[in-house]
Amino acid sequence: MMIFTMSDNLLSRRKHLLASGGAALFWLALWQAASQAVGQEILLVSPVSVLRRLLTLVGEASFWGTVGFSLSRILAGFLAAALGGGIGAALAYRFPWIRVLLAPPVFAVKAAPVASFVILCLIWVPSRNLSVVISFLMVFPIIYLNLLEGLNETSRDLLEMAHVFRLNPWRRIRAIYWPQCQPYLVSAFSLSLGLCWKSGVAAEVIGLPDGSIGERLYQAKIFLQTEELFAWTAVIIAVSVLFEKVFLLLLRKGCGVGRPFAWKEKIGGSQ
Amino acid sequence: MTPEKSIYLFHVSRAFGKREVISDFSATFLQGSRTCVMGPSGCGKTTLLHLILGLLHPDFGQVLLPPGWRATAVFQENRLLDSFHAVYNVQLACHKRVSSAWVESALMEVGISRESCFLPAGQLSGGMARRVAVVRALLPEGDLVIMDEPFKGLDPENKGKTVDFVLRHLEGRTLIAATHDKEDIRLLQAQCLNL
Repeated sequence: MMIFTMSDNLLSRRKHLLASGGAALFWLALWQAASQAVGQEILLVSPVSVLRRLLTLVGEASFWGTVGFSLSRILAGFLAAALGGGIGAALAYRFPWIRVLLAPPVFAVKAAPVASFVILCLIWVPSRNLSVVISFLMVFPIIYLNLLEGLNETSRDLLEMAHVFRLNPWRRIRAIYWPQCQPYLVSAFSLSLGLCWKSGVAAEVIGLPDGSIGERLYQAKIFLQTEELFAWTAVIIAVSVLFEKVFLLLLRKGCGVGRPFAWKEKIGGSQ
Repeated sequence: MTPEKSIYLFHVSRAFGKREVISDFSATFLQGSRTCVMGPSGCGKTTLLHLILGLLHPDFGQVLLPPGWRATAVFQENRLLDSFHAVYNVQLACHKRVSSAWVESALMEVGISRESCFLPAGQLSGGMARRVAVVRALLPEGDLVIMDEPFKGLDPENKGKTVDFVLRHLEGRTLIAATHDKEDIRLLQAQCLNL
């Protein structure tokens, strides 16, 4: 009996793209129909109005400044968390007492609602930098826990081999730990890139720093500008997706993440 | 053969749970000697090799190793880096920088083709991976070579090439090999130690 899978045999990449585009068009058409049926743009704005508002927004000088404000802060929080989570996981793997020490705060950050942290952080941190702290707090546990799990799953057999052959730490990292942790890191980054945007913008909506996307969303809500609200939401989704794609692409290109085999890796030159 | 650089085991015992695999075992492996450890499955051959390599510690007794010694090994499982090619696997184990051409020629000595040298180790057949593991144990410098069933799964032709390679590259190092095959004692020109 022959077994076909959707992605491999029934749908080529082009067909898959067409199908995805068709599905998106279907939902847009449904949205348009629902908006026309409701008949009040303030309750349910039409996709055409959102697109029109979006195009107007992109043409405004303040638009790019607003996107840049939020992007730079959320990106800073994300990168700090990626670095901190990576170092934390490596230390926790090497020293079990660090794992024990970090367990309660990591659990607390994971379990507590974002809004609680936002309100708490507003006491200590200026609202301009609130999204840096919040995106850091949301991303840190994901990177830390995923990487730690990857490290803990490292093959004991290979570590024994490294011990016998006395591989130096750099070679152990490059040949054993790095390939082992790649899938865990990619998964952690995919998950956290979306989350840091959601939490970062949510923090801005509560903290209302001047010139942020969160502030624009809040103003849209206050003045019942539904098309503005939808347009900014579309911007957040677009930037978040773009951010994720670019980051994962850079990770793949720069660090070899996701490459199945290191075909021509070489050590040294002549004997 | 200098006794100062030999390996001594004094009344070594090692148990896993309630099962004592090695009991009050003593032996001396002189520097440059070749020994085949023989015995039925489960008699403790691999445990003995792991005690010498320092991967296990004895419950009782002592394993005395020469100071500053360096060992290489062919493990019972190949323990290659599956996502890296064969040449890299060998280069990684070498402390000095070695050229890929040199490693490639060593791999070809044991019957591995040039194309297979640059295949990821995970894609090699069992026999090829075994030979890569043997080459990895012999090319780096060291004082002791430990081999756990080194010729397992090799056909007679490739076994012959691999044995020749081992004999050519031992260069006075101590060899301790666990094996089921009595012929290995003759091929490796080794003494037999029954467990």
